[in-house]
Amino acid sequence: MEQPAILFENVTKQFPNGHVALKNVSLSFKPGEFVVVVGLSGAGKSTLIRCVNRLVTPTSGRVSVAGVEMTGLNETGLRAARARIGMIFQNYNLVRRSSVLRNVLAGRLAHLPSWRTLLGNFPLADVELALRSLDRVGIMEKAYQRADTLSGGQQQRVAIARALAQQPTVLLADEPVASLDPPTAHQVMRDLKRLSREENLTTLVNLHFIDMAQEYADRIVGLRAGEVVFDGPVDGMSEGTFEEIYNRRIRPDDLRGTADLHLTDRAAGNGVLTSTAPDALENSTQETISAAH
Amino acid sequence: MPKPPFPWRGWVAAGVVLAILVWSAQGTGASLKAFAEGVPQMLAYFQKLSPSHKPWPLDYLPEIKDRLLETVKISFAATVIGAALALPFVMVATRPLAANGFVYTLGRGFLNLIRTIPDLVLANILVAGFGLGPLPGLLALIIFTFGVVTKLLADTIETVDAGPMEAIAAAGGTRLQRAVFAIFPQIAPDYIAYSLYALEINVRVAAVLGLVGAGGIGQILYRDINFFMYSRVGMIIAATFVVVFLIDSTSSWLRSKLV
Ligand SMILES: Nc1ncnc2c1ncn2[C@@H]1O[C@H](COP(=O)(O)OP(=O)(O)OP(=O)(O)O)[C@@H](O)[C@H]1O
Ligand SMILES: [Mg+2]
Repeated sequence: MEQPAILFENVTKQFPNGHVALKNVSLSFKPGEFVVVVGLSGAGKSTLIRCVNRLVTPTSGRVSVAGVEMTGLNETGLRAARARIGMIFQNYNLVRRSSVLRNVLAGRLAHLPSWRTLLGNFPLADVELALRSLDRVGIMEKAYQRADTLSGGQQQRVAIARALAQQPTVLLADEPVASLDPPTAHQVMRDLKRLSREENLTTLVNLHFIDMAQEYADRIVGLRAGEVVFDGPVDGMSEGTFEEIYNRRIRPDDLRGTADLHLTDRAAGNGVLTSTAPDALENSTQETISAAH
Repeated sequence: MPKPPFPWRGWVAAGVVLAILVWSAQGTGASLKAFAEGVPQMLAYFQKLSPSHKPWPLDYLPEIKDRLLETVKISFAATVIGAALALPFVMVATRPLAANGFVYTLGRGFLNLIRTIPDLVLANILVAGFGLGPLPGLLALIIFTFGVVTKLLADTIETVDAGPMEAIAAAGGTRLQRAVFAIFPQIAPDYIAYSLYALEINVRVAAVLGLVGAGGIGQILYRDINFFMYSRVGMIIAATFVVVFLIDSTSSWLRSKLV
């Protein structure tokens, strides 16, 4: 059998305040899978994702990435393992006062001798890799601008380029589009999906919105109160499945709205504001509400 | 209409401040009467210092210039060295960068300790060790600058956006890389502002360091005061005022341009 890209074995996380955020979670992800993790706020999505690169250390159980047991690593080993695990955050987590390029080069820190990076002396090959990474998310021309001069969507692309510069095998994304407007959110999700395909990147994405989850995921993991209550391919999932995961009816704020990308892309070009999203949202809202009665 | 609650906290605070004022005035013998008597005496003293009382001895200028330059050099060098030392030390004096809680507590403790020693006491001790001259003054101000800048910097770092640091940790960065790539760029303007602020204080303190024999303009000021050489004292004060004012206003202007 093929070695799993990410493996959770009976993982439990109890925070020092006693709260159990993950309960005996076992999951196995294949290389190249694009997995979306859904669940209500507080269900443990962030905790799950952060156990992969050990930003959170499980209380018990094992997490392995590409056969390396993360839970058993010392400082040095952990840094070496993290070097190949990219991570994207809701708030981009860029150094706002630094240039875009320097932000992307941060993805090379664990691949180079520490002293070289501290002197700012990055090998040409690494600078080129950083520039290529920016090119792959379409913003190479921004390389020498300060990060805080970019729009939210552009900043998230810088963050994706930073992760790409790590030449990762695994990509983690914790609510990567929660701070973006619908069209930009869809573009960033498309970028993630495309890069995952091109690089055979195992990708774990936390999402709030069930329509986005359905649109982009190969496989969906549903969490409720720290337990896996759903795990399966996205095909054939219905609102009912999500209602089971959420343990309540689907509400309009669970949907981001599938802004028609081709329409909005073109609209941006000729200055016409077109989006089918609000209508679609309202319709589905009414359906949900009438279904509730 | 709901009535606003009685602002008892404000009144209590005012009462406490008043009580402290009365108490401290008694201890220092300060009173309006003492003030009324003191002001004319002060004016009379200023009169003696001014060139209208007796022309200033211009041949004294070269010595004043040399000593003032020494004062300025002491304060500049102390600021640069002290601020440079602050940067590595802040790594152990701030929670997000310290290796662990023990190191942090130790670092903070050391910082608080050196900040409790008054400058002149410090200079005095150093004079005892290194002898008269600018070296002990320089060392005293280095320690002072180091203390102030590290403390302010550490406090700033603890309020800074932790997101970039987490991103670098997630990418496998070391503690030092987290500091240099995620923290230092965020605090760079504050760091420069704190260093300039320290410089402004240093110039003033350096001017009086001579009182304990630690070099600079204060040394001849103290001597001339003791020998009642009023014109010389007047000249020294005027020259010092000009230099301190120039450095101070340039530095404040630079600080206002930051952030
Ligand atoms: N450091 C912590 N200490 C104590 N409890 C925590 C800590 N971090 C998270 N929790 C708790 O663990 C639970 C799961 O948190 P987590 O952040 O994983 O949820 P989430 O599914 O990502 O939610 P959201 O959608 O709001 O981001 C929550 O109840 C949260 O309050
Ligand atoms: Mg979360």
